[in-house]
Amino acid sequence: MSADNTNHNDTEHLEAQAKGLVSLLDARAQRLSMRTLKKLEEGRTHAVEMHKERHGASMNNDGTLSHWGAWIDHHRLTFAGLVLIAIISTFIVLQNMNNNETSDAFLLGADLPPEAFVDKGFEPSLNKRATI
Amino acid sequence: MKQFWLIFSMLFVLQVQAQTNQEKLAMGDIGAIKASLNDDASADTPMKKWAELTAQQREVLTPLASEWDMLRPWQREKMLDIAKDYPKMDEKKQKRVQKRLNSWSRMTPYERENARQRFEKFHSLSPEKQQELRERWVEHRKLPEREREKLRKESSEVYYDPELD
Repeated sequence: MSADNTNHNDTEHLEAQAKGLVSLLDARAQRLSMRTLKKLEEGRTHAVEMHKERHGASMNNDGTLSHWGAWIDHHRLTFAGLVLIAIISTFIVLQNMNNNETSDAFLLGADLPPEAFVDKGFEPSLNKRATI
Repeated sequence: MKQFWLIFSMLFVLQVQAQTNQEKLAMGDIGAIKASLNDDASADTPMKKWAELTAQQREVLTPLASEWDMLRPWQREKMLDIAKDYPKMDEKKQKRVQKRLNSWSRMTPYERENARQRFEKFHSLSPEKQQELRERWVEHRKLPEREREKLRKESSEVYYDPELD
């Protein structure tokens, strides 16, 4: 048997052991006494209160600690997507500002003379409605 | 959640600012004229005399040399904008700009604003459609003046600002 295969067998064995432990713990957790559960809850509450005092964190509605960037931590992909969209759209708008090929200079340099654009009788489809 | 909305609103404000700047650029003469009607605003507009222009600006605006000092501040500002964009164009377009500067400077603000609106629309058309309009212009010029006048009367207003009347 190759070394690779031996390592693979070890990993599988360890995984099986870990799963067994988890099942045992789950089963025991279901049989904890009310006294133990209450002690665990008090301990957790106390730990959260101490953390709040030390770090000034606030609490979410579900009892978990709220900290700066918590939303970002839990929605990293969404946040990254939003930032990317904002950057791209700002870039596009700025590019349009720099490449302003509808400025007066480009109007004067166009294939059609300014008279064509002044004459609203020519090609009425270029006219917009009056803005008053 | 608060941090997300803070960042989102900052990005939104940046976007709106960028778009507002773009709209200001597109205001044409109208904004500049309205600003000049307000005494406080006109004090800020620079009145660069011909001798104070750079060599590049004088080269571009040569057709306006004799009348430059008589142009109003907002007119000079618009001409300087043309000089700024001039280097971005090829030689053929630059020659056209030089040739058309005089007639452009003599148009009314109303005519110039109409021209800008229509040119913007023309610019957004496909190259095929633009070529079609170039050909139609050649035909349109052959029409008698009374026919062209009739077409002008029949078409809708392009841009109207009662303050310019």
